[in-house]
Amino acid sequence: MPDNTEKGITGSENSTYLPDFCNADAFLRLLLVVELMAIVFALVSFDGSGSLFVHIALISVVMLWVGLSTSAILCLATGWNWLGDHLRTTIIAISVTLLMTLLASYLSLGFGSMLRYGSTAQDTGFTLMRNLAIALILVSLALRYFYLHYESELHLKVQAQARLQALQARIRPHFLFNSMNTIASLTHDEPDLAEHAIENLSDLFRASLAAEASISLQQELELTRSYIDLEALRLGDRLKVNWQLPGTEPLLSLPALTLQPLVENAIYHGIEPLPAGGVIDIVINAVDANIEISISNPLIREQNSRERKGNQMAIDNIRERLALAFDGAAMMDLSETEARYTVKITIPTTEVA
Amino acid sequence: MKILIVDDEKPARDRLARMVREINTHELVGEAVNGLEALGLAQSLEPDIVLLDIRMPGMDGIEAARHIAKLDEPPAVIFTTAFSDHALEAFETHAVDYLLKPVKQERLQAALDATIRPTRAQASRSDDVLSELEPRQHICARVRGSLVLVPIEKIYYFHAEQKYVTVRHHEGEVLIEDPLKALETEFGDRFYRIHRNALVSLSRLAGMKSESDGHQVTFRDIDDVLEVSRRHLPGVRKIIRNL
Repeated sequence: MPDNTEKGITGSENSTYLPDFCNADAFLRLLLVVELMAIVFALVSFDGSGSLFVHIALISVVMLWVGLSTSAILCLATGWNWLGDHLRTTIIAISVTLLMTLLASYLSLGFGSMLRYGSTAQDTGFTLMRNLAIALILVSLALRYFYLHYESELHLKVQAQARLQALQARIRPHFLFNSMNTIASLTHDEPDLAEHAIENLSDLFRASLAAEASISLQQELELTRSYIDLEALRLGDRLKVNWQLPGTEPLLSLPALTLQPLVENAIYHGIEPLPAGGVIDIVINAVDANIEISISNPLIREQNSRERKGNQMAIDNIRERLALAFDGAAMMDLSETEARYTVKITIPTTEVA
Repeated sequence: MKILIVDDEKPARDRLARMVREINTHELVGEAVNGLEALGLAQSLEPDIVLLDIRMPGMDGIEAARHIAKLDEPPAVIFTTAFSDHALEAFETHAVDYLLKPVKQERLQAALDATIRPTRAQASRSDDVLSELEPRQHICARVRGSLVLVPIEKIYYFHAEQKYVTVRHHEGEVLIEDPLKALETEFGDRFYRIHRNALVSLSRLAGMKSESDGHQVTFRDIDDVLEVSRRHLPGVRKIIRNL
């Protein structure tokens, strides 16, 4: 799953963090920013002698020339796939800008002395160095801005995709239709049980449709119990659940349906394949500032590849959602002993999802 | 028609049973909770139709259907499933009948009414269709008229002799009629071809020794040896080295 996500984003045509300079909109916006800067510099450096507009015009010409030529070259470079990774992109962008600045400065010095305006021949060296320094600072700021922008966009995309995946994985069709079948059967023979099953199924669907909602640990445990009740109707005494909860339920909020899918996984991969069934352990402990929740099921070695992949997908999915909700502070460990498979998640209580 | 219902979930069995009873032309003769039990009841009760759930513990419905197809007078099999995308595709293309749970009464009746018991040839075609889905977990052999199931992981080797293939397992050996080529395709990731007439289990292989007349492989726990052909020798060497 994460592989796909990454490919989906970095594999798209926009793999560089620079904006698309070949795009007319971006190009115009850039020119506007350059022109505004030119005016700022002109105002700062204007000493009252001569015409302010000529001063602005001269500085604009130089800066726009740098801006235009640099954008044009970067547009071409993108088209020819020269940019490569971030480091290379940065080096190319800075070099091109400095080169264009150097060129523009030379031209303007020649032009300026012709008009008897601006810098005189004595401080040519100083002017070049000054222009290069200004260009370096500006291009660094611009690149930093582009990079941050790119990163935040990337983050949004990942988040959106993770949400989508989470939503898709929440209710397994297998579970839905089996539950429906159970309810269809019970409606006839045991209407009360059927009614209760529909209530439980509704609770689960309500939670799964309320995307990204955070709920208390207590509510999550209730959802998990609703789920287990439904599966118990189907599996009968093949399903045994052993709960170990702390005396007082810890205060903690977490994304809705974080534990339920882990229990679903445990039942799907650990109980259903066993003719005689088995026991699921659900243990919750408060350790220091963390809440540890572990869910374990009988380990079945003879599983086909499709089922292993299914398990991995569900695990990756929950890991991603935990990472999003707790900003990386929550942990998930998978472990196997001789006979059991355990998923343990550790959530810091200080963080509120 | 006599009907056998197979499903690991009691509510699912109860519902189908009730629906079958409501149809006068058919008679419910038994219920089984997994593929293994289904195979036994298919022999002893001789149903005409088996309503077979796909996902079951122990032996799943697909594998059970493949073994059932090899009976002398195989019953017709109709799969029932809640949701199983990959299998459904195969069924669609090969017209193996299936019902989606929860099953509708009219749909069940229509499926039962349309069913005729397959001939052995038809049954073996459906075995071919199903064989594309998953390798079996068991080999099914017939010993003195009854079926014997050998788990794949207990098998040391398959050895072809004329018309039959000998299956050597932890408690002895049985004969089956499956061609060695088909076994190789199905279990290629667990067995390796060492000779035109033999496939050996990778997990049971112990080593290789050279004799005056060629090379032989040896196995863990049993004294049997099998000849390695010249053509397969390099491949077998590589495997032995990586044991």
